[in-house]
Parts: sequence; structure tokens; C-alpha cells
Amino acid sequence: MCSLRRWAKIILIEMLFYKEKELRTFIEGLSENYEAAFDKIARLISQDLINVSYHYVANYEDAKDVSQEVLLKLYKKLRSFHHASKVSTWMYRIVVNACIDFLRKKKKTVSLEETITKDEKDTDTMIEQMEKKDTQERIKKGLEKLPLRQRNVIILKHFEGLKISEIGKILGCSQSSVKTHLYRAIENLRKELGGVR
Amino acid sequence: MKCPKEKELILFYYRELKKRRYKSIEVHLRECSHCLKRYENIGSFFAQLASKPIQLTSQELESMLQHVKQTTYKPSFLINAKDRLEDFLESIRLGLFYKPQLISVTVALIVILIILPLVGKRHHLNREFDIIQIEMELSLDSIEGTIFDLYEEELVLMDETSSLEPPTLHSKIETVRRET
Repeated sequence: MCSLRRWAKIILIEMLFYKEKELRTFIEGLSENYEAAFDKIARLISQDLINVSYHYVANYEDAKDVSQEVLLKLYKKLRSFHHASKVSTWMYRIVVNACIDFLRKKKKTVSLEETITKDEKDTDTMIEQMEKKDTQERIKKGLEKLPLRQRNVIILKHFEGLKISEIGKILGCSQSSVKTHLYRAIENLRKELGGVR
Repeated sequence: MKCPKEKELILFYYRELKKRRYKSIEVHLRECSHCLKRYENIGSFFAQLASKPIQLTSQELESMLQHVKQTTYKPSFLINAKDRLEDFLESIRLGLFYKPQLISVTVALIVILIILPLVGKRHHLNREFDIIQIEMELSLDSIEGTIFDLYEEELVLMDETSSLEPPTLHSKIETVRRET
């Protein structure tokens, strides 16, 4: 239990939400050297961008496209960022909107064929790999079937580890609304995955 | 203490409950094996959802950054204003996404705003048409009345002086026009 919490903590530290201070410092540096400061910001958030968008589009190449689109938007908009909200909240909003736009354009997402990371290939047996792949695909399919409102919430809460209050700010809805959608999303995923309950 | 609902157990897992409630559920889980099993089920489900984070290679990141910087972009007052407006619209858009009732209210308001002036205009036109019609009827009445009167007078004159020819209707209208 303790190790699980420690692991979760390590993962959470990697999240965009926990990089607020660094982001603010880099944004302040934009006035001095825009290109260099943007470079630092892009390097800091790139992994977060690809992970969030991957959970939406369920395809690595598409996730890369969305991330690039987001970076482009940030490059244009960082200049006019007016600190009305946290930098991370603002960035999450841009990513979520970009993902929604992408899904709308595409309508039908591509097949969920995805790569397994190298170390998994080395350590796992063939059966374990097959099982993992099967579960992963079922999860992705389950996520795909969720209505966008529920998908937004589960991705930001479960995969990004954001606080409910923060999700409310990003999505512009109340905390109770976030909780309701989160619960419904989990229920739907449980039904979809079947037998996990 | 009553067994917590499923929703509360999920929030307990995420540590999203108030301190007091969180502690009471924690105590309850130690005592109630049924709830502990429910909680373990939730935990195992979430463990299944866990996935390794995807890594973007440095080469891919470099090419992405290069592509971004290649796009020509000249900041100006107008572009800044446009970006701000876009930001504002994006935040509103997501908000509306979670308040579908607001969308229907907005659509209804827009429809009302479009339809109301049209209905008003139509009513105004009908009123004008009514006025014109009444005016026409009145003027016709006066003309008819005058012609009738004239014709009556002529008939009387004809009886009196049968040698004279009766005037034509056309000539009578002409005289009425001249008089008016």
C-alpha cells in the first residue's frame, strides 16, 4: 500500500499541474528571449501533452499531431497569456479543446493498435503480453465509447491525477458536476470491461 | 455508521473527501469486511486502468519544435486581441459542454430575438394595409356618392328638359374630379 502511494506520488510529480512554478518562471522569461523561453516550456510539458492527447485519441501518431497543434497554439498565445488562471489550467484547457476538435474532425478514431514499450517486450512472456494488450485495448475501447464529458473528467482525474476542484476550473463546471461525470464514467468503464467488478 | 455509497468509496480512493468523512470511512473499512471488499474491487479496477506513460523521443520533440518555429508569426494588437477572444471562447465552450440546458436557453433566446422583429413588422404591415383599405373605401364611397348624386340631379334635369341628351358617365366623373 505504502509503495503504491509512493509510486503514485512520483507519477503525480511528473504531471503538468505540478510544474506551475517552473512554468511561471519560464513565462516571465518570455519577454527577454521568447524563443529560448518557449523552448524550455515545450521541453517541460511535451511528455504531458503527448500523454493527455494519447488518452483521448488512442493512437500515438494522432497524439503527436495533437501535441504539435497544441505547441503551435502555445507558441502563438503565450505572448498574450494574462494570468487570469493558473498556467497549467490554461494549458490543460487548450489541450482538451485541441483533442475535442481533433476527435470531431476525425469522428471515427483509428484502430487501437498500439506499441508495447521495449522493457515490457523483454520481461513479459508471450501470454502476459497478449493479456496486457487485450486489457489495454479493452480499456481504450471503453474510453472511446464514453461520452466526451465523461471522458474529459476521467482522463484529467484518473490519468492526470488532478484535483476535482482543478478539473472544475479547467472544464468550467461545478465540482459536483465533475464528481457525477466521474462516477458515471467509472460505472460505464466497469460495464464495458466486464468481470472486473 | 452506515455503509458508504459507491460514489463515496471512489472519492475516498482519490482522497477527495473532507477530512472528517475520510477518517470515518477509514475507520468503517477496518470494521466492515463487506465494504473493504467493495473498496478492494475499486482498487483492483483502477489498477487495471493504470498504464505506463508514453515517451516522446528527443528527435520527435526536436522536429515538432522546428515545425512550430517555422510558422511565420508576427504579433500585433489585432492578433493579440483575437487570441484573447479565442481563449475566452474556449473556456466558455467547455463550460457550455457541461451545461447543455444553457445551450438550449441560448438557442431559444436567439430564435426569439430573430422572430420577434419579423412578427412585429408583419403586424405593422397589416395595420398599414388596413388603414389604406379603409382610406380607399372611404374615398370610393365619396366618389360613388357624388356620382350617384350627380346622376340623380341629371335625371331630374332630363325629366324637366327632355330635349337635352343625358350626360355620359365618363363626363360626370371628369366633372367630379375637376371639382375635387
